[in-house]
Amino acid sequence: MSTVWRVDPVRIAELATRIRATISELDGIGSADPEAGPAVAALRAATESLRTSLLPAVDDLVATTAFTRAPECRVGEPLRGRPATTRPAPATPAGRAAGMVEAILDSHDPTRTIVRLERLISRHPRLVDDERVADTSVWNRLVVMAGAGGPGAGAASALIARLVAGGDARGDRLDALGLAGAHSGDGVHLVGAVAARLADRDLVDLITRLLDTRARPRPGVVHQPSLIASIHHLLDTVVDRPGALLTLGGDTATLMRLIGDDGLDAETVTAALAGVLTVLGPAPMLGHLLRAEHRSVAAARVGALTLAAVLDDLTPSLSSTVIVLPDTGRSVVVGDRRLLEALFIDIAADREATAVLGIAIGALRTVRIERALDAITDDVPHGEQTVAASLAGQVAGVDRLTDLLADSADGAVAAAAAERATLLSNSSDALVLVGAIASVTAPQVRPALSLIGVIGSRLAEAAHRPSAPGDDADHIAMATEVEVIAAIAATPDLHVSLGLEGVPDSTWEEVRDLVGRHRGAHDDEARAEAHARLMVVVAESVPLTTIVNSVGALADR
Amino acid sequence: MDGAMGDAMDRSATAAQWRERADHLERLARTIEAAQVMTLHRWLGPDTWDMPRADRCRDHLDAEVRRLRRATEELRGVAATLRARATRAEGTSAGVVW
Repeated sequence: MSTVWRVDPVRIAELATRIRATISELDGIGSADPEAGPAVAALRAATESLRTSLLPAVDDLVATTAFTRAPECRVGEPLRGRPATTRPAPATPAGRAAGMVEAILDSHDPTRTIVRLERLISRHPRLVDDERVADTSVWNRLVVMAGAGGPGAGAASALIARLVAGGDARGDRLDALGLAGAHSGDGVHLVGAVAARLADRDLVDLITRLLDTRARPRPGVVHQPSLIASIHHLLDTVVDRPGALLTLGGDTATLMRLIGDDGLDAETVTAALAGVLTVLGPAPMLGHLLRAEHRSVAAARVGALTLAAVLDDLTPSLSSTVIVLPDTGRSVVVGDRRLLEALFIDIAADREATAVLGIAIGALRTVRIERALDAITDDVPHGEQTVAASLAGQVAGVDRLTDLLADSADGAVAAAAAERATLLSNSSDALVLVGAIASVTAPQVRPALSLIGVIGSRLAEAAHRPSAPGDDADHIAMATEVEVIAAIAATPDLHVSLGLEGVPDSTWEEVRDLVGRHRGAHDDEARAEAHARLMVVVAESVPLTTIVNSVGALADR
Repeated sequence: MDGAMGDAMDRSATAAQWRERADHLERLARTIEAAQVMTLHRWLGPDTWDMPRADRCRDHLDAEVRRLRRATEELRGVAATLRARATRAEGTSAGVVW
């Protein structure tokens, strides 16, 4: 049976609160007039029904879904979670105080409730460690208050942050917050309200938990737009706090997941990356990322980000320590020449990172040429001399950077430098491809970076593929060509930009089919046949053929 | 005070009481109609919970709300009857023959 039970913990908690308020309200309605007898009887019947039927049902769910990591279950399975409302408070002062919390919350006066709660907790500091405080309806009611705004929201947020920070239940409480943020409506407001009050570590951990939730989509339970909005809220908060940036910079796994998540707003993620660069410095940050998975992608992102920034404010001596990101206007301390060189040395020492950075440089070179051409086209009175001068100036910036890269690498690892030089000098055809991709997104380079990353990681995979008997450069080139064709086929948004809009859908379907066959081939013969047929299909489109040839040239290096 | 005038004053006082009771019953009807219970069903939809138990709870609540709506209609009916009675009483005290 595929029926899924769904419960929105925030709304169900709000429902419980509303039912209690309704019962209280109905209890207050009455009349001594004999003619009102039937109406009063109906009122009492409704109250009784709410009290004995609806409220217990809802309270059960509030108790069960609180801190439940996966608040859904299929018919026939028990609801997961910890029923907590039935556990009696321990006979300790803190336990008795915890028992008072729910009573306080029953007052339905948010401002007064929070004041009384804070007073109670200040008298019983250990209360924040008591699971009962953050369990069931208590926690959920705080969440509803914080998310709904209005009186008491600020104090509720502060109390939530305090409860998250204290005690053994921190993980569960962060999970509960993350879960609330994955729900539409008040959940996003809640995360926004609480974010500013969370400690640095809690803030970053909450991002991690939201990314966890995002990685395990549960339709009907997780509202992806709300989840993404919540992550953006948190990232915006992180960017404004050096301590949180430092924490995020040290959390390589979370950083990598942010970088690799194409569903997130690129500018928001980039701003966070830029912030981390600011507090951490590019070399240590790259060092972190290079130790992570998909390091070439990371190198491409960070390298291109740095390059994009540096290119717009490149001084001959590279002595300036502060640059301004072109798209956001945000100031970023990149570091002095020594730090920048260290960054490039790190990149140069890593073959895949170098390859991808080469692509990024090429992309930037093309972007700058395109920008210059655009500027010239828009400015007709300038003569031919100006065109040449402008182009030369634009390209010179990239070339100076390339020289710096070469100098840095030569001084560090001669072999890597030689390899890098070969890569850079021979990859111009491939750079045209990525440059074309980047140029269509100019002046924003960043949107192109995801595809640069895809291609870079494909190249890295091809280069790292275990050698089988008979494996040689041709195989690597072939595999890379196929993977890049697959990446382009899977990115329809780029077809127009790459001049591939004339390629019919039937051709793309054939391409995808042949890519699948190539990947699934068990022997060289089948693989070669799939590749040959793919090339025949590719040859039907001149722009596609040009692109594939360019990539093949890079893979041959 | 002679007997006729006293009867008229009694009827007038009774009419005022009937009107007061009618006002009270109408206020009660309005209070019930404005009570949170009448809109609580908005929070019982599938966006809050979606399971068989929720359907049963919604059915129970709907039944209670229907009963309360009938009660408010009855209250207004009784109030109208009391007003009519008051009007008749006042008409009688003013010499109007019904």
